[in-house]
Amino acid sequence: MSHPSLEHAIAAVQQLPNIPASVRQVMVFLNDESVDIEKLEEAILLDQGLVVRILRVANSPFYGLPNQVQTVHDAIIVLGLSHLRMMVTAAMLANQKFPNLADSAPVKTLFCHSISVALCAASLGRQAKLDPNLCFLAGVLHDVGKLALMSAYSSLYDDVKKLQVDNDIFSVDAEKLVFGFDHCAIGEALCKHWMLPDAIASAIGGHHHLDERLELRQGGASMDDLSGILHLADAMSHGLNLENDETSLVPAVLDQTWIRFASTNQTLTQDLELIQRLYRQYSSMFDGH
Amino acid sequence: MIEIPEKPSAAISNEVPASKQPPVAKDAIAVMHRFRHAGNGLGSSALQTAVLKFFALAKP
Repeated sequence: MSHPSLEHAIAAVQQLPNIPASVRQVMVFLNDESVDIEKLEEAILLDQGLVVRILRVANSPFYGLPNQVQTVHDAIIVLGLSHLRMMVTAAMLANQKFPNLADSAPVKTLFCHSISVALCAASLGRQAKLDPNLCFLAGVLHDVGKLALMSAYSSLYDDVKKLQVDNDIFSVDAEKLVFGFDHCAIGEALCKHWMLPDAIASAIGGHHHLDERLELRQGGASMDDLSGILHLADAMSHGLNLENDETSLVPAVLDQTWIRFASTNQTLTQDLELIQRLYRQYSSMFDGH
Repeated sequence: MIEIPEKPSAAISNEVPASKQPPVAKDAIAVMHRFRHAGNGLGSSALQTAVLKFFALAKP
């Protein structure tokens, strides 16, 4: 089977289902600091997939509650709005319908890796005084192009995985060999199609190409912070390998990103511990996916 | 705005039982193996050291 052109592939993945309107509405409410809890509860109740995942996490051992949380209202109280924002963002990915994607271990691993990157990005963002919401969302979606390629071209993507393992190379390089392009370009196009913020689309498009984009900007332009954070968060996540992926491979970390976002972080080790603890909580969202 | 809590709230008190924790590869060889294509730049080396310290595998 010959590979599709980039334009053809973008057109194909744009046929994938959009983020549900119900989830978008919940996210709008969550971004309103003065949101009415009852309105938020009503909006969440419209999406049963979201309800199930939120209740599952609220009842996870992480919270150690003596009684079971049985209603969305109680979950909002237990989790608090800041946790709920991240949880709804994560659930958005878990609920996204990608045709042809079986509930397989590799897909769950990719979901869990996305959560791990999101937590790393939010932590780095908080340290760098960037909006951790934006960083978390970028992390959750950073490999959405990979999911889209796996969904739209499942057979070709099997070739990618085989090539990657057989030759001990990065998935992004195997994708270029099989498709002629990689998941970054597809992810960026998909995020633009979904009308997500340009900063997120751009960071996703560049998270494996930061060095190339920096070269293009020589002449004074500074590194885009969100792109730098996403690049470093991806490497951190592969280093931690919380999802226990045997093929996890840490990409080269640009010195500029380390110096800018991590070298002066006195609490990095504690942050990694918190990321690990939160990961245990959030990854339960994908149980039985 | 999302705030990752600095420390667990009062509600978050119970540790996850070891049996329910993800089976993370914690030995130094496994960590270094994951960094085999990361290169020796400052960023990669510093991250590797941080990860090893996190898992308490770094040499003193």
